[in-house]
Amino acid sequence: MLVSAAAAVDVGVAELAQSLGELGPTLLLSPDGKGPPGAAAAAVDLASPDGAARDWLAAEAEHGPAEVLVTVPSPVPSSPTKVGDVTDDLWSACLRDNLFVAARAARAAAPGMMERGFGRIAMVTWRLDDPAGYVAVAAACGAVRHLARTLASEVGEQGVTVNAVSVVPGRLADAAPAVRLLCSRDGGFVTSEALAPVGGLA
Amino acid sequence: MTTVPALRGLDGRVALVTGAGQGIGAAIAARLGDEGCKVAVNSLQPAKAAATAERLRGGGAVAHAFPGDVADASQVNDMVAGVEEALGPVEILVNNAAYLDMERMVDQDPAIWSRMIDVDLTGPFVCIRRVLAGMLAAARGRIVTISSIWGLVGAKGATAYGAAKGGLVEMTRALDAEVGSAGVSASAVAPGIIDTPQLASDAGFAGIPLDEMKARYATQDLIGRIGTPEEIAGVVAFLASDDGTAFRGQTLPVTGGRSE
Repeated sequence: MLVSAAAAVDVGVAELAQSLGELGPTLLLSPDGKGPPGAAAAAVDLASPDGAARDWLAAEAEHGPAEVLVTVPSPVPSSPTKVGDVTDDLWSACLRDNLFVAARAARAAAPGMMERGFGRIAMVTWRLDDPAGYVAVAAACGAVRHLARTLASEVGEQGVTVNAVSVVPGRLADAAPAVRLLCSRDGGFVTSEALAPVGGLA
Repeated sequence: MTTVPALRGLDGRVALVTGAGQGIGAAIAARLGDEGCKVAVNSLQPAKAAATAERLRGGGAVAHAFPGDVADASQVNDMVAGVEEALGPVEILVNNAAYLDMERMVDQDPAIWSRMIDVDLTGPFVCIRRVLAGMLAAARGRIVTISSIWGLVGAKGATAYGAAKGGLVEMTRALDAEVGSAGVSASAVAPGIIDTPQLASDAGFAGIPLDEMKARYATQDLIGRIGTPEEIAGVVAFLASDDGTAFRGQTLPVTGGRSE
């Protein structure tokens, strides 16, 4: 089973999940448990470590063990904020909805994957070509990329790969081909990488 | 295990794989054959090219052997003409042929240095130049070049090889910037340590038995083992497929999380 975890399920997340459907049955996890019509969805408390672990186990008990976890970034704010105007609340929200979603979901998923000797974790992040005004997003996404690189070193010998996939904001579906590669048998020797499937822009 | 999705855009394509007599190249040729490509199998050694082509045909693929030296423009010209006549215009070029003789730079015979640059860096250039015009005219082509982790990080005993493989990373970026489009694209793969006959040379340089060399390499990979030729072939097939254009101009490390 493939699980996508996000701070909120919007049109982009639903589209990505749908395009990953050919990997197998998918389950959308988010704090409110909502998903598009016809998609399997469950609520997971990503606001606390205990809640994430508890809800994860409940979701696996109901839907089956997760072989793949895809974490999804939250939408980039529609307008820029100069660094001096970034409030603690804005900063914390950005870390919560990007870094903490990825970290809590991965922490909940990893033990079962390691025990079963197989797992694929792909953390989708934003690639900001012009990060001015988006310092919190840049920090959070950079942190997710390095989280993926580092976590890979802790779970690799148990058959779990961890990678980051960065796409242009608003274009979540662009991550689908790379996630399909990483999560298929063909991607088994790719780990601790930060891929950027941005077609000639890199 | 999740379902392995089908790769799109490979069935029926003509693919030339250089250095396909053994190791990673042979696995790439086999995988492209499995995906429905018509495979031109190149190797410097005619018997090895013939053996790989025979094996592919045994598996139901269309495959022909085209022996030749990728560093020799005249031989490459004749080889590609032969492929075009037998199979059609080359639509997928996999620059895999390589030569690595591990030795400290201060001990290296300049002739050996030159041969490595000729095969590992100039060879891909010669092959690309020969097939590119046809790809551009057809607005259809995939060039996948095999670089190396040692083209991304320095490795003792691999100065010429590293220079060539690092050159391929930048050449791929420049090539795609120059000719890349939705139809024609260039990308590269940087394999880590893969279980191929090459490892015998590594063991010789390190002065230890082959098994010990493999075990040492395995402990350096985050996933605790060295890779298989098939794992490189899978990523090459992905890059040659329709989905691969997402990585235009880029080099994908396939290293098991290796950093040295």
